Amino acid sequence: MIHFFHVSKVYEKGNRALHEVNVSIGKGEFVFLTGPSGAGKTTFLKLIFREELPSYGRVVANNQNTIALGKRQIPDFRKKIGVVFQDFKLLENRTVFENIVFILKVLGYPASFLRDRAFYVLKLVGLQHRYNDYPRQLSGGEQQRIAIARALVNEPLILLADEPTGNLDPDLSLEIMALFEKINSRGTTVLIATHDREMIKQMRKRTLHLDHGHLQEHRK
Amino acid sequence: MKLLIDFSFYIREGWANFTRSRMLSIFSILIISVSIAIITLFSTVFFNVDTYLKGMENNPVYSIFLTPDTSAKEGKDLALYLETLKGVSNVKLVLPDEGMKKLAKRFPLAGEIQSSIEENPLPISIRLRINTTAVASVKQVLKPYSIVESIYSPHFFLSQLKSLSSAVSFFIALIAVILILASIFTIYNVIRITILARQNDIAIMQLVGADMKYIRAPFTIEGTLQGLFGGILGALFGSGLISVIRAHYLAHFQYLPFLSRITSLPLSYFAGIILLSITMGLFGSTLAASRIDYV
Repeated sequence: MIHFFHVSKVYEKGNRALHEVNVSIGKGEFVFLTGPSGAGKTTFLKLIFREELPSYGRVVANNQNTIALGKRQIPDFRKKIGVVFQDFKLLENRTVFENIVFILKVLGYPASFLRDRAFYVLKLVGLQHRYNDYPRQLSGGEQQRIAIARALVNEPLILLADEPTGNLDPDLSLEIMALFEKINSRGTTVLIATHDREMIKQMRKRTLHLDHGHLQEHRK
Repeated sequence: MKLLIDFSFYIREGWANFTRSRMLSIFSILIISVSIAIITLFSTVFFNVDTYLKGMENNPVYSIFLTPDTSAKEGKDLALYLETLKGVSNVKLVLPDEGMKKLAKRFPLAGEIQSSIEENPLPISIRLRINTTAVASVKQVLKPYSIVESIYSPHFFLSQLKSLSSAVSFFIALIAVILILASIFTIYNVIRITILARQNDIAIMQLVGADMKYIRAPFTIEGTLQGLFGGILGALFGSGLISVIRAHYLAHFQYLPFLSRITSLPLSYFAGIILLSITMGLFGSTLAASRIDYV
């Protein structure tokens, strides 16, 4: 499902984020990506959904080489990948409900499907009662849960999450992880970038460790 | 069905964008409306001059001036004879006093001059309409009449007026093109600013997989709405301006009578002007939206 072949990413001024990374993540796997801040976790995720391109090597996600993707193919490629961003990236001038429905609209879902589906995912993250609020009216943890709901709403083939429990208390973090497991059990490949070691220990899943751009793997 | 759903999405998003950036939209609408008002003003002048010229061309009025010693009876006989000719209509004998009255009405100065010299210098004349195909034969018929001093044909005046009108039309068209380009440039820049202001939203939409048409189309709708409202406001403003100018200034232009009779544009012209404004909005905003690039 996700393959990195000799991938290196060098930013401007020679700042190297990833170095010779080779890894494969199979369909339906649940994988943690861990490492200290600045290790390259976010870059790793950005390379998968083609927000960034590798400086060297090749990234293949969902059988598509991200370098070979034409500009017009990018939206279709991204439609199959759900992303929970570290900074949430919610549309500030839209309500919670509109933030979720918007995704379904631009993905071309029929109008009759939108409302039920939006409330279904809001219920999953326990925020159906905040549907009419704007993101600025929510706490950091609530915004994070909305970002998760948005990523799940179209049942993507791959789910990427960048520090999805960073703003949540331990109980809620466990609930969210259980939700990710549930999604994963339906066949979605889940890749979660986190530095929450306790969580990783508890979940006992495959873990990729990034350190200064170098990848090491721990299988549990 | 999908097309309809997509279109209603663009309209709703476009309207939301339009109301969200209210100040910018108002600024853009005002600029467009000023351009459209000026275009409406010019179009009205052009339309009226064109109608006047066409009227003159289709129904030219000739004047046959008779020699000073011609009696009223001789004039009347000639007028009666002219009425019998083919292609001649509206024959009217104008005696010197009546001629002076008409002249004084159109040019008050001429009346003052006449009263100071105490003698009417105008000869008897015959006003008539001649079908263009009959002009040559009528002139031929009049040749042996020694009482005919000269025949005034409006064609020279008409051709002079036409060449003046086409020169003015070119000038008007040039100004209209400049105004249209300025409006498109304004809409382009206003939409560019709103795109820059919503860059964050655009990036988010792209990252979640929104197709470019979903991102660009609302901006195009926003610019088109600016064109529509600017067009309506400009057309109203322009026609209001014409009413004011007609009532306060043109009514006194006695020596250019068609100016005092200037009419408003027909509805089809207004529809055309508003359509032009919508096209300007569509073009400017499409140009601006096409510059949104993929993240």
